[in-house]
Amino acid sequence: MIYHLVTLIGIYGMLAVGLNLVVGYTGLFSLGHAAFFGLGAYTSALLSLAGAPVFTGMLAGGIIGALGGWLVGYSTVNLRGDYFCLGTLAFGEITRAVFTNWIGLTRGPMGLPGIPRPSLFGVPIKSVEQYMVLALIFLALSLAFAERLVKSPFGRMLRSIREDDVAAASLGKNVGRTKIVAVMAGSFMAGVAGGLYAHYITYIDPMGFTLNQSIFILVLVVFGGLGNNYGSIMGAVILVVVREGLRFLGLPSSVSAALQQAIYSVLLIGLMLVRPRGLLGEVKYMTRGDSSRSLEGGGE
Amino acid sequence: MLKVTGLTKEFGGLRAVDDLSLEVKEGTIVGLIGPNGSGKSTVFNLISGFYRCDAGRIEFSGKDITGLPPHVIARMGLVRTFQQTRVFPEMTVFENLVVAPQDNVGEGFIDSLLFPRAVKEDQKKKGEEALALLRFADLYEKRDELAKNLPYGEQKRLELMRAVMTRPKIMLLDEPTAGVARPQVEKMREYILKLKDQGITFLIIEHHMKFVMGLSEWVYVLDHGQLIAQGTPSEVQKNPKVIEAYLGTGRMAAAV
Repeated sequence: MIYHLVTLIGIYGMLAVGLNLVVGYTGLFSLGHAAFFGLGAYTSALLSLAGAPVFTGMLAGGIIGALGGWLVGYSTVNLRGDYFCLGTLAFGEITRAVFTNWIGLTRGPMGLPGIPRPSLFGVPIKSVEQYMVLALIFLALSLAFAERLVKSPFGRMLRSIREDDVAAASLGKNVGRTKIVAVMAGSFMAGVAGGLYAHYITYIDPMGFTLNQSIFILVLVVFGGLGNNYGSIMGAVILVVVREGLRFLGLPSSVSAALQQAIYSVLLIGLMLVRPRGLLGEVKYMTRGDSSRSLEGGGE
Repeated sequence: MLKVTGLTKEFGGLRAVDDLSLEVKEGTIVGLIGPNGSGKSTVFNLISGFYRCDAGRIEFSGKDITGLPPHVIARMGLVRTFQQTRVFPEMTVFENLVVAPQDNVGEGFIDSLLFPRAVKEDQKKKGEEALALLRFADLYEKRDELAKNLPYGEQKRLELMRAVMTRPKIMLLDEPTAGVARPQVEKMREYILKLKDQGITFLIIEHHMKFVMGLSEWVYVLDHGQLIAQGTPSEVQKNPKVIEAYLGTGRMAAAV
């Protein structure tokens, strides 16, 4: 049970860290992160069912996820703020519709069963414990990748775009391209997480990649604190535990779904009252005047 | 250096800018004045690429820049400031400056991940440059404060210095003294003159008459989107059309 939870936390942590790049650092509100998650899951599942090695499938899942990110970014980036949000919402619904209706490829609502588990250097990863370690490694890699990115001048430029994209453009920053790159990086991570998920559960269907899922991932990021990668993971830890915990209470599904919604709402409202910037708040990667970098604790 | 011919912009049926032509020679300070709503800021938005013009041609350093996107124009060395300052509020004063240079190493996705040493070296250089500029602008003590916590006048100064960090050839300043306390206006004047000595050309929108007349070598006067006068400051001040545009009550004379 605990291993299962940690594995899920690894997967959702990856999703949250990826989305945090987009929402927290670049300031683009996304309601379609589950779409990239789903693209990665289906890509990786289908490839491995066709005989490709699992890790190749996961990589391909990340690439297809990033391509999806490019598509959304490219088509909405020259529109102002909210349209990106609408674009991701639409993209999420479209991908779900494709997963549901392209029955020849995805078997539609029946889903894809029997997705193989990976094997590493010839050793099959069978047990949940082993998979948990794999998920944690993936999460650690994602975190290292995201941290490196946001602490670099690229990350600083992302924040300047979030603060004021008109001013950033006036200084010569290619705002559009930078936004697209950030979205692609976030959706690449979602795609890989999708692969990780598909080969863990070994069964996927379109219901795993709905708007509700997108909102759940967004809540993880907001809950933990926008612009704080550790916060995103913290959000994943708490909310995944709450969600899975509810599942094991054995309530009828009609009750538990509603209860889940209610609990998230209460948690979010409570958090907004106590810590409006999220659990951990934004980490200020302030480059100080003595030109040494320092991490200043978050909070208000 | 900057040459605008026949520039026209319409919003709905309104001609915000009507067949405007002006020229800014290298190494000079040129003023652009006119009553509120005469289209000055629109002209800036057109030149810097934030608006697309309906007719006309904008040349910069001998190249046609009409219709190019803002960041491309900025990268050619034409950088503007805004009437309502647009500093990056949640970034420190220091960061506001070091984020600005256009040749920052590590702003590309790939080199940000792969070349930490080159990034570090470059950032050190940019950091020193920024600190020197902060000393010059009397903002050194505030280098680690968030930009949003600065008083408005200092934000205005910060925005100007941020633009300087991009090493522009020409700067378009949109009301550099608006909202700035009187003692700091004189400082702003000094900064601009010193920057001019370093080879930066200026086109300045201003309502503060004494300020703009004292700085500019040539002044263009806009009213209802049309150029109604141009000349040296003293010529313009005597021009009856200009006086009339400013309500014809001698407010202009009084202001000077």
